[in-house]
Amino acid sequence: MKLPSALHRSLRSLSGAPLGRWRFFAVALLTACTSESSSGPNALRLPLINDPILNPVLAPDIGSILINKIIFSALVRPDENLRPVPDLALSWTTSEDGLEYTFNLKPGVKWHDGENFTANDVKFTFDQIRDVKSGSRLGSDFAAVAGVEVIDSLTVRFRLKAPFAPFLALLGYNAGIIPSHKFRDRKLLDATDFSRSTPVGTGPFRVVQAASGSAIVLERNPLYHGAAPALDQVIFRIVPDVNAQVAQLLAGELDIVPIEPANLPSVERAAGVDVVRNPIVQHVYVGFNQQRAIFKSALVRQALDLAVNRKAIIDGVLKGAADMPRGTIPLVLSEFFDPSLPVPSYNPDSARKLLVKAGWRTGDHLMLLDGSGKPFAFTLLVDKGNPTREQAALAVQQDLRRVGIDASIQTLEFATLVRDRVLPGKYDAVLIWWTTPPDPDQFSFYASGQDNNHVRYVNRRVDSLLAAGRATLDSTKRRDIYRQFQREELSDPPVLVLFYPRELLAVNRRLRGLPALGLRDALRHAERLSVAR
Amino acid sequence: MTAFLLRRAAHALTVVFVVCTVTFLLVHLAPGGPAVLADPKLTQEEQAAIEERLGLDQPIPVQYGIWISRVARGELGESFLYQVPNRRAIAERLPNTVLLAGSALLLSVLLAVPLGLVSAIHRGGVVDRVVSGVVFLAMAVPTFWLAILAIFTFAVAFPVFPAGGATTAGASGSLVDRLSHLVMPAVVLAAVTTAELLRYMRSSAQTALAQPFIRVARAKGLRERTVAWRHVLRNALVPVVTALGIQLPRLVGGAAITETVFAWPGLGRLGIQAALGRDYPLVMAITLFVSAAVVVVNLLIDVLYLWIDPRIRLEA
Repeated sequence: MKLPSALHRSLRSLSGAPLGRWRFFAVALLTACTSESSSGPNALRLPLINDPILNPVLAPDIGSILINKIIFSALVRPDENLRPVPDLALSWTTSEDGLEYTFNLKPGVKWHDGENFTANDVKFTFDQIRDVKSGSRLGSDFAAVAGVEVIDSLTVRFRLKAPFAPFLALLGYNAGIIPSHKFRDRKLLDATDFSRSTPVGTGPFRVVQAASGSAIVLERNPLYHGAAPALDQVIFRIVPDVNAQVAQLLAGELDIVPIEPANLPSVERAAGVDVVRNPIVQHVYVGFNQQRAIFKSALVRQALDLAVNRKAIIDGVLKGAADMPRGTIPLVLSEFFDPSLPVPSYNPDSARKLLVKAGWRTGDHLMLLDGSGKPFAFTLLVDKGNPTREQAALAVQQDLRRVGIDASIQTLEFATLVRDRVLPGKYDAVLIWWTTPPDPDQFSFYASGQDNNHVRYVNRRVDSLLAAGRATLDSTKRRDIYRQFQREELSDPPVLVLFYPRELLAVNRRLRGLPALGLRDALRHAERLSVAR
Repeated sequence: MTAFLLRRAAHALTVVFVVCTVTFLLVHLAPGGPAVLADPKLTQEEQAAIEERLGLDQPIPVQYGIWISRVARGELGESFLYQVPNRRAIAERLPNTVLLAGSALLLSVLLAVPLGLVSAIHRGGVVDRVVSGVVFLAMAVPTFWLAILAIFTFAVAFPVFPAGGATTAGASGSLVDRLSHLVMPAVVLAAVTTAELLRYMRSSAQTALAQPFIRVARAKGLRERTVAWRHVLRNALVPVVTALGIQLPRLVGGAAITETVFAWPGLGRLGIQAALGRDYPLVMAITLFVSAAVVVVNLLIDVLYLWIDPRIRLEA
């Protein structure tokens, strides 16, 4: 059958027309785009993976925490050495017994809506934080607070239940101050408009537009209490997919994108993009459930420590974006980290010797067996979807096999892993991490019987050291306590610390003023950031 | 007609009810739990307070009963993740999904119907062979890959279109701006739909071409163009309209991936985020809404048949 020529013609004209228009359209767009970027406002654009909750007390996820740091100022903020410095508080005094902190607030501070900021707002914020029923996500951070008292409109006093050294670091971490006048007749959770689109803070930028699933647009706060922000706008774009975030960075539509080591090749070659590797307060580790008989012995955990080739993981999997660990207190807490500690060695032979000393013997195929002939086998959990951690788990598995231990890997969604396995203690081993405030306090993680001690680590000496560490305000004494703790960790490791990750940020080369901190802490200094034309 | 519609409406209600019940069971039986509770730092007390507030301390059958009674009163509940009424969460995203899925569907029909017709009439010809090749390619390539490829080609290498979003954030959002954001996701989303529709169109046009009435039409001395557009097309459209009805839920599902990669603020992405975060109320609200929409559209398509093909009777 021959195609009738009339139909032929009509088809040709059908396909010809849109093509021509398409080209015209593309050219028009191209000119539109170029003219926009040269005359638009000085804006910084960052990605979020989901719509944030714009209330620091309720914020449940990292995205919300990040954006809230530039909307809501806190009493203090961390400087470039992660030490707390004044923000909304001008100065403070601590009572002799360490139980009372009195803050003198900065005068003349205005909320984004023009109202005056006062001590009442501070009291209101911490009353909400400490009320479990308010929906607060910061309750455990401030469990040590007994009460907050307004002395006068610019003075506020915190009473603690016991001396608590991390207090100031926690004040500058996630505890943005919220305005009491916005919640006079309603609960935090009912103030949907506030937490979705019209938050009111005292930070350097205020929200002017919030479109669900699209973007949150913030504008310079003309009433800001600190140095005038250099940027006109900060825009958080909701981009759920990491690869799409990288593509948007390369297309010049985003300025800062947190990336995975696997993304490095695609951004390192790109013109106009720099990669920043800032240390963060985090340790990534393999936690062994010490309620399981095989992990009870400190000798076994020492052996596991020797059996894993961390250098290979850092170079191979993380492409160098991590530091060699020496215990659970990360390097970036330079005041407390003990640099004289030995760098962990990789020594499978010594590991095997230790395991033999702990009562294991070698069976078929060099696999380890216990007295009754049962193999040294367990399941290692890792969260699904993060290639870096999945590959690190594989490396750990292979290293352990070399010393005769049979680890099988199970990947689970993070929420499932935490809720169903780690919290109820239904697991053998897990590859996971802790991100902490800029303070060495690890009492809740590694003191026996504590809520966050998921590995069920029990060591009385560590208990007393960690208890003393959080109760000691004198920084020299405190440093000595944590150095002793780090020594103790060598002989009885609570977890197998794999590395201290560095945060990989792909940034627009024209970005200026980014402090050498993790993004969480760097955004507390948003007024310093700018994008050169 | 009225009896037919009533019967179909009863049908539709049953379908929606079954879909919602099954979804309710599935999301609650899935491992894990609401992301709002998946914080390793939560204390027992905080966890209990959250569970009580969200109603998660009740047994699942009780939670189901509460959900059903709320729906009966027209309430869709409140999202765990976004802390807003689900009705609002859906309403904010719906226009974007309708725009994207609608554009993709329109594009698909405009491409698939004429090309499928030409392929069938001119079986084995150049158009047919080229189109078949492209169709198989489009069906074989995963959407997310096609989307990333499109972004790297047309936003990074040759910056013609924006890499993502529905508008330029912080800008006024002119028509040109909106359209330029729409082009890539709509084309990517349309790729698979077009490929499938085209195959339906081609084969049903072939079937129609073999019918005696086409020979009669030709014997009457009608021009080939009239035969093709009047006789073949109309008869070939019935199965294609059915295929269109099937595409609708798939467009919302497929849109979830496209919406995610292109950062398009639509309903599909909202659904994905809700499912991943075990945002039970939002998952249920979206399920209810989408299943109702699909059922209604299918009902409309049944009515459309009558207009396309008078041989179809209501009783059928």
